[in-house]
This record gives sequence, C-alpha cells and structure tokens, in this order.
Amino acid sequence: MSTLIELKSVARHYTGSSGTVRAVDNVSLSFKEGDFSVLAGSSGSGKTTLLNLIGGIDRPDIGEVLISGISTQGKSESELADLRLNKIGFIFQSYNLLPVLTVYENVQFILQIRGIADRLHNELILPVLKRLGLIDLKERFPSQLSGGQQQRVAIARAIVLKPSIVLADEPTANLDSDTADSLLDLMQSLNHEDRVTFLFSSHDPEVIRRARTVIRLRDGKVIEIENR
Amino acid sequence: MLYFRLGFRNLWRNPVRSLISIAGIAGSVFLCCYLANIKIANHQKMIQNGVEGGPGHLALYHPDWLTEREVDNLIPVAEAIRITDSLKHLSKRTAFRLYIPALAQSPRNSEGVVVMGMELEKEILKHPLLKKKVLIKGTWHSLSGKQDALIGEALAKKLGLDIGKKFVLMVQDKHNEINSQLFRIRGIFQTGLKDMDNNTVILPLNNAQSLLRSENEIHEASILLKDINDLPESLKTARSLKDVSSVHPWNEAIPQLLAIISLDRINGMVMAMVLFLIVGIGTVNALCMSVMERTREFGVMRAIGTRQEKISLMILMEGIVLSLIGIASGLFACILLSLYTQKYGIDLSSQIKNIEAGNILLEPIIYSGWNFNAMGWISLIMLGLGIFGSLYPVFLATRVSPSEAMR
Repeated sequence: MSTLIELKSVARHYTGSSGTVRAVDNVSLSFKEGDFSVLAGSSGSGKTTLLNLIGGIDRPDIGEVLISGISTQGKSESELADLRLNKIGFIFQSYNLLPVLTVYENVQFILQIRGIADRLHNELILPVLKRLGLIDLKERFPSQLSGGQQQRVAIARAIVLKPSIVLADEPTANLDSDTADSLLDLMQSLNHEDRVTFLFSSHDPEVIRRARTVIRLRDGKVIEIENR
Repeated sequence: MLYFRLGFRNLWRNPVRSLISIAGIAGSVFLCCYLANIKIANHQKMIQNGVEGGPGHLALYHPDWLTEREVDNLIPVAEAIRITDSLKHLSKRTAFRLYIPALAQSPRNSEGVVVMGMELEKEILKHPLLKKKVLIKGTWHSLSGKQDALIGEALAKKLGLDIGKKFVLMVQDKHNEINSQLFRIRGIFQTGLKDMDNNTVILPLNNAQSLLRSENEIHEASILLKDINDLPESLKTARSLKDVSSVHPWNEAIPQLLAIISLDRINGMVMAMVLFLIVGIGTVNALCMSVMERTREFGVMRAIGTRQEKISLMILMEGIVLSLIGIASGLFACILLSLYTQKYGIDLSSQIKNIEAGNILLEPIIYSGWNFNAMGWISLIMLGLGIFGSLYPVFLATRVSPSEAMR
C-alpha cells in the first residue's frame, strides 16, 4: 500500500494570553491507502489541530506535511485549496452543509468548484446518493433532514470526487448511538468495498473500537500507536 | 448557475433585510428614472414654448442684438422676407417682431414697460402665451387703428386703465429722439407670466414700427421649422442669403433657457448621486451583515477546497442578484407610472397656478416622456453599485481562515 499522508516532526503552537500552547508537538506519522484510523484522545489533546494540519487547513510552525508525496510547505492558499479539493474529503462534527442548497446541490457544489462539466453531474452524484441511501431525499434541504441524514450527505460530499483520504472530525459526536452505529457501518463498508481511506479524530469508544489503527494523543504528542 | 442559485437563495435567508435593500435599490431606480422621464418631457415642453414664443428654431437679428438690445439694432423686413421665403418649404410659421422699452403714462400713474410689436393676426393663435384664452377683456381682432393696443392685466391695474381708456407710450426712437404717441386699450390680457402681465404692451407691428419710426424694420424674424432636424440645412441656407442680419439657431438665441435646463439636469444628477450613495452604503451593509453571519460557512467552503475567487464570485452574485431584482422592480414601477403620466399627467393646478421658468410659462400639469438613455445609465450605475458594494464583503469573506471559522 502506498503512503498517502506523511507528517515529519510536525509542531503547531498557539500563543495566547496564558502563554504558548503546544497543540501539536513534534509528531511524525504516516497513513496508507485503505487505512481506517483514528486519532484518539481527550479534549485539548490536539486531535482536531492535527487533523487540520493533515488536511492542509492549517500550516505547521515546524516540520512538514506531505499529501500524496506533495509537501504543503510554501504552498499558496489557492494551491492548498486545490490540494484539498483534489486529494481530501472532509466530514465535520456539525455536518456543515450549505443550508440553502438541497442534498443533491450540496454534493453538486463540490463538482462545481472542481469545474466538472454539468452533464457529468448526475452520473457522478446519483450512484453516491444511492449508495448512501439518500436518493429519495435528494430534493430536501438540510433543515428537513435528521442529524444522521445530514451526516450521510456530508459523507456523500466527501467521497463524490473519490479523494485519496477522508478526514472525519468527531463525525459521531452529535448523533445518538444507533445513528452513529449505522453511520460507522456505512463508513466501514465504504472502506472495505470501495477502498475509501478514513482518518477520524474522535473520543467515541465505538469509533475507536472499530478503527484498525488507533493513534492516542495527549498534550499534542503521540503517546501510543495501536495497530489491530 | 449553482452560484447564481446560491446567491439568490442566500438573499432569502434574511428576507426582511434583503427586501429592505431591494426596496432601497428599487426606490432609487424608480425615483431617478421617473424624474428623468418627467424632466425630459418638461425640458421638451420648455424648449417648445421657448422656441415658439421666442426666436423660433432659427432667428434673424441685427448682429449686435443678442449682446446689446438697443432699439436701433434693427434688420430690414425685406431681407427677412427674402430669407424666410427661401425657407418656405421647411418653415411652419414665421413671425416678425419688435421689442421696445417704453414709459407708459396714464392720468393716474406711469410705468416702465416693454412694447412688443407683433403681427397679431398671425401670432395670436399660435404664440404659446397668447394662443390660450388669455384675453380677459376686449378683443384682439381687426386691430387696424393706429392707436390700438393690448395691455397686461396687472399693468392696466397699476395704470388705473380699462378697455377704451387712453394712455401714452413714450420711447426713444431709432434716431435717438424722444417720441410719444397716444394709444387706446382694445384688449386686456392675463397670461399668468408675471413679466408679461406686469409690464407688457402689445401693439400691432405697424403701430410699433410707427412708434419707433422704423418703417419696414424689425428686431426679430422668428422662423419655426416643420421639423427640428431641418435646422442645419435651414441655417446653412439662411446664412448664405443674409445681408445685414445675423442668423442664429434657437440655442444661441435663448441661451438662458439652455442654462436653466442644464441647471435642472445638474440638480437631478446631484439628487441621483445622493440616492446612489445611500443605496451603495445600504448594499454594503446588507452584504456585510450577511457575510459576517456566515463566517463558518465560508470556512467550510474554504476547507473543502473552494478557492477564494469562487467565494468572491458567490458574494458578487448576491450583490448582482440583489441589484437586479431591485433594478427590475424599480424600472417596472417607473414604466407603469410613466405610462400613466404620459397619458393623463399629474394635475397640480389645485396647488400651483402656473409654473414659470426663464420667462416661459408651463402648465401645472406634469407629463412624462421616455428618457431611455437615462434609464439605461441609472440601471447600469445601480448594477455597478451592487458589484462595488460587494467588494468589501468579498474582502471579508476571503479573509476567513478555515481553521478559525470552524473552531
């Protein structure tokens, strides 16, 4: 399996009124194609910061992040945006769908910003919506959906362009346990059947239980990597 | 198309705010366009009245008349006839006139007046001030007597005169000699134009010529053309035939009318600019609020790979959609009201008796025309304002850091 993401001695510090916080401190990691991994740890352990660094949303103060062998160092905002668009899918804790767009249009939005011709949209979107059980909801707006359904739309948006990796920040935090279970089933089956690579940040025991690799963080440092 | 839809729908997330902004734009477009339509009709009417009651589309004068209105700046009637005859196929009406400053004396009072010598039979039905039923006493028909005169109503009052009464006009004649003659009032007119009613005496042209001792001479030959577009040709012909007189198009002959119209246009533009400024600020405010409420959304868009240019485009689309809806609504309202006022006018006669502008009398009924040029420009400026008003919100939105926005 080829390496998709590589972190080399990465650190990210924040300076506030209470002094400097080492949100991520000298972390070196790599993720391979087909992984189903989780960054685990309590609140403030640096999970989300690390996920943002991996996704090119944030830049490290020290070290280097490589996405599909391409370093994010020295890249402009536009280049980073392109890298995220082409290589990474994102799933957020609070779904973050565009409220004025329907289910179909939320997924279509990502194709639109990628510049994919309109005539190909149905061909790309409908199978994904079908796979995620959203086909009958495609004309609905996010406000007309349950939390679980909204998170499914977020997954559809994340995978429609077949990214190298999907980064999911606490994807089950706002869901009840049944919905969270079914969503994790879905992501596991996408991982197994469609070879979608997932990296979670979570402190949900169920997510941690299902992950094949668990990276435990404390105070911005990797304290344990557990491969199953 | 998705960006356009996104822009459109985003506007309706806070319908009250968007509707207020749209109403502001629509109101400004409506006001500016409707005023432009009223102004163009009003200006056309002013020019028409000014031209018909004054120099016509082109006029013959003594070369010094327009700078120095001396009574001896006269032109021969023969030359005026020769020139107007050559323009007969183009001309609708010609009128020869004299303008003489005089002192009117009655047994009770004396007043400085202007004596207008006119070919009454020819003018009285066509002159914009006289063609209406302005004669409140007496008659203007068959005024062939050497003492016949018409007098303004206010002047008659000041002189304590009435129909059939006599008064004396004292003038400086063309030989710089004092000349006075006795006249009898045959008619009293009330045009509504203060200057005319307060200090004008109208004499048949022959009587005025006799008073000035200038047989066969006039101050003004006013030529009204069938079609204003014939002006350049008529001007060329008239200038080639002139001898002692000078030929002037209407805009040279009554520059004060053009000045009034220009001033009115500038007033309109200043008002439009104030409105544009207010609307511009309103648009920036509405879009800024809308952007600031959606910081997180923009952060998400940035995170999933949306480039700053595309986010800029989305906000620009919101500004454009907001402006287009406002412009369309404003134009629609303007067209509806313009159609109505073009046909029926707005009658202000219960509020205002007459409207005077530069010795031109306008009816107190406001009509509108179509100033498509102004309507187009106003719409474009508003669209430009919508785009310009989006620039600061665009700046704000593109500065959103995805990691900060989603925290």
